[in-house]
Amino acid sequence: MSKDKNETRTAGEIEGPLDSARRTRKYVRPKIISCSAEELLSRVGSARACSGHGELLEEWERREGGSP
Amino acid sequence: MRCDSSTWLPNCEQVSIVSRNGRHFIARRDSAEWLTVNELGAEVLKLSDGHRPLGNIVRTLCRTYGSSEDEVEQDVFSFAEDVLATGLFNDARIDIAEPPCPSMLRPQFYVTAKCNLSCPYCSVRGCLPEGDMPADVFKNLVRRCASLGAQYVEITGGEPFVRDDLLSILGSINGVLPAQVLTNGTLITRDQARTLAQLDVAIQVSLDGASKEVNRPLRGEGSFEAALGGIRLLQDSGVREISIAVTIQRTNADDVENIIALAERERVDLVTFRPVVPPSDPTSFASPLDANGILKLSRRVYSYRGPVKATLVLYGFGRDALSGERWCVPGRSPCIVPDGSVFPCQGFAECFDVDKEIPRVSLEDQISSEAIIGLRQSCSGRAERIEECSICPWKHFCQGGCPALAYREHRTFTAKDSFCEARKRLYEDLFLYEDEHGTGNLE
Repeated sequence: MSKDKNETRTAGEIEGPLDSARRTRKYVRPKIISCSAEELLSRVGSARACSGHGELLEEWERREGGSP
Repeated sequence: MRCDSSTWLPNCEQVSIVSRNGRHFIARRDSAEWLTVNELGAEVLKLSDGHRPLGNIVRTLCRTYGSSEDEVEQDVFSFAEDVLATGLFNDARIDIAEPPCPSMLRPQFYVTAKCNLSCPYCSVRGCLPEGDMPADVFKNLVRRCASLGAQYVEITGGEPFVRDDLLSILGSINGVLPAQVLTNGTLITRDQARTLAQLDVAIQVSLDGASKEVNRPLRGEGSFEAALGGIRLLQDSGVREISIAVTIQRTNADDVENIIALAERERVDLVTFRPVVPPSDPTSFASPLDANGILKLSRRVYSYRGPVKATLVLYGFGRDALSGERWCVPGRSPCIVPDGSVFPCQGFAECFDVDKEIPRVSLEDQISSEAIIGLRQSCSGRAERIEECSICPWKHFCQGGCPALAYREHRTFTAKDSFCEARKRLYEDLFLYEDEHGTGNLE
């Protein structure tokens, strides 16, 4: 994925007739913010969708290499 | 794939879009593929109808923003290449894994229906057959679980320590399977703690507040001091793993940080916070958090930085759901009640009047019997059969929520459970708000 150019400019800087709504909008290059569950998983820690008590389950996951 | 002005993206009108905070969650409706994009990214995707080439979209954006065509062109082409590289529009979709015929994971034994406390929100009161599970029945069932692939057993009740023979029955399975005992901690003696330290046993103590004032209305007079005393005896005796489980409701929601601080002081490694499930027993009383309350809870739990592992347990939200795993697999962690009856999971055991609808079959039949496979199928396709779920952008994660809870609340599988709104807020928060300490998603 290409790096963010961090380039912005307001529509007001552009010559030509622009309505007031457009004057408030900035052009920021389109980009994907995230498409990976990995970073989200790091934010939810060991939260579980169902009963999941304690280290034993995590030990099992580490051993088996995935969620049960 | 290189994109140019003649390239077009597939029709994006059929994706779900959730927009908050200048971010947009884009998800396919027919698979678990998703991505999040910024404002312009969403605008490009919304303009993509499967026929309009990128050159046309570039000109539209130039007119809107007054930007130069050269600049916008490169940005849009690059963005389109990134989107196509994610596989969002691949025909060969990766759907949520179908539930395999599972080996058993974590059977849960309700070794007694008796309890020395009478917590008003108790979810099992009135649900369990009276009495204790006979010791020989317990030992036999645990051995059968081990042969079916179980990794460990959970021992719960009622309160397991009301049984005079608890250490004896734990000793009878030592070396067969590790055990985790779920207890209120109030009855543990020093001698018992010393014996427990010699066994392959972990202990989870339920505590609903970091002070007697918070704990008293929820678990009873004297329960805080007694439970804390139990934790200290277990620590002093060297029990290998001690955790605290907190049932969170409006009454104790403000005590999250205090409870974690208590865990730090008592050298407890893990605290799990579980929002209270509205009890089905009319004599029980709970004050469940609303969706906003659960979101606040989540933020408070996950803003903690310290040595204690603090985590949230909520049906349909968690690592397993986000991983696209089939998190609900009835029969994988069956529940055995004191009279030896086996239920496909804890949730179904705690339903009232389940005789006809929920199959009660042997341990061995929890793996691959026709009845359990039928139940598994009923549970696994719910998100598409519940009308509101079928159009929900988060359905591939929550998978329709907890079927047992839905059944308990509505007497049908094809209904949402009461945590639906909370899960939506949590997923929005996770996908669309970067600042985990912010309050953008709190209203």
